Amino acid sequence: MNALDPPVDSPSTTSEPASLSDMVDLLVQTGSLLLQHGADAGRVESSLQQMAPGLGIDRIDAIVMSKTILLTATRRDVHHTRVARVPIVGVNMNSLNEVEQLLGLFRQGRATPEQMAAILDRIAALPHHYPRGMTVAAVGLACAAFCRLFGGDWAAVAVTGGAAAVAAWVRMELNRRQVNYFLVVLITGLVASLLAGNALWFSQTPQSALTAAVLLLVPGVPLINASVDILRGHISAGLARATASLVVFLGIALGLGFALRLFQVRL
Amino acid sequence: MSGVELAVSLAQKGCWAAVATLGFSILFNVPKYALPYCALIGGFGYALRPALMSGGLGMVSATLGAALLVGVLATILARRHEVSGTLFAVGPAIPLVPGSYAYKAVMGIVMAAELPPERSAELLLVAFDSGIKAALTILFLSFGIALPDLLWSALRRGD
Repeated sequence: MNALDPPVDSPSTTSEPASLSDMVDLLVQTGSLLLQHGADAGRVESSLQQMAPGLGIDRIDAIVMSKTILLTATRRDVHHTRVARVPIVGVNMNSLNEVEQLLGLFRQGRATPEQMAAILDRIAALPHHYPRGMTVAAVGLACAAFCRLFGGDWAAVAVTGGAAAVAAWVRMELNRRQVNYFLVVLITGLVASLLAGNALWFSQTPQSALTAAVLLLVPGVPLINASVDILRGHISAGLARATASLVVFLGIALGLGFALRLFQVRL
Repeated sequence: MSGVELAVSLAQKGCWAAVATLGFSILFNVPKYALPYCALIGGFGYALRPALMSGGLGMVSATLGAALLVGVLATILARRHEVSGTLFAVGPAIPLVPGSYAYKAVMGIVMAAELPPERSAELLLVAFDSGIKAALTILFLSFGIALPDLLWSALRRGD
């Protein structure tokens, strides 16, 4: 403890860690884990606010952007600020759920800040419930179902499933190599539509295969988060997400447009 | 279309939408116990949209209805399992996202950029139409999904 941080007599601060800076680190760790796995800005902010009493902090001012958290914690006349860049990993409902359960325990006083930091580390390292092969197959199946919904025949459904599964695998590999997100969309979209275009040889409805195979790229969660953010008044976070989604659609349109020209198919 | 034919077509759409929801829920790492619920909610939610549209509603308001159903079911399940509603709502929301409208809008604009003005008008009109539908559908989709949970929290706070 430093000189500016005298011992306190308030009962809520009995289990607090040594310094305000440690608490800010814990808050940023919690917020980052939520944001990088697909939580919207409002959810991150309210989760952080709920931690304030348990940490013995008087006031938390947090600004959550699409890939950044700015956070100032104030305790009496001392304050501490951190700016954290948050690498976006992708939607992971299990991690979000685990963090939320942990926050519940912490609010009830059943976890200390030290325990919480350790559990957050464990949540961040949790493996996926489903192996990579199964995820790839699931994405293929989902796009095949979309093809059927768009009125495709069985040949188109089969081609779509294969094309989308290969594209899902390509996207995973590119993301693991940390390729620029627009390039990932462009390459994945091109792979999906070039493979799906082969429905031309087997199917009466090749356009349904082309439309459905690129649907794995549609940024569904970012788009829904964008409009949730905007509706709740987090305009800048929402606009950033909406713009990024628009760029993704541009990438899809370019890849698909190239394949449509090549195969001479009209949607 | 007769009532029976409509019911059969809706049931088929619901089943395929359930498969799509299941696929995306696995991609989003939804815990195993929640997967069947997600698939069911996704199927019913997606089938409600064409049902409402055959009753005369437009795409945007029909999506709001479907999203409300998803939101209500997800909220009920979330209370029972003491988790956040998004666990049961995100997968089912994905088939309702108007992805093909959105990229038709962007593709129309990209193609119009390559044409002389007298030939681009029709393309731009289609692009604009798809874009408006896509944007409003997404806005109403997220609103409809979030509303039941917000209302429920407000009601509980009132007690």
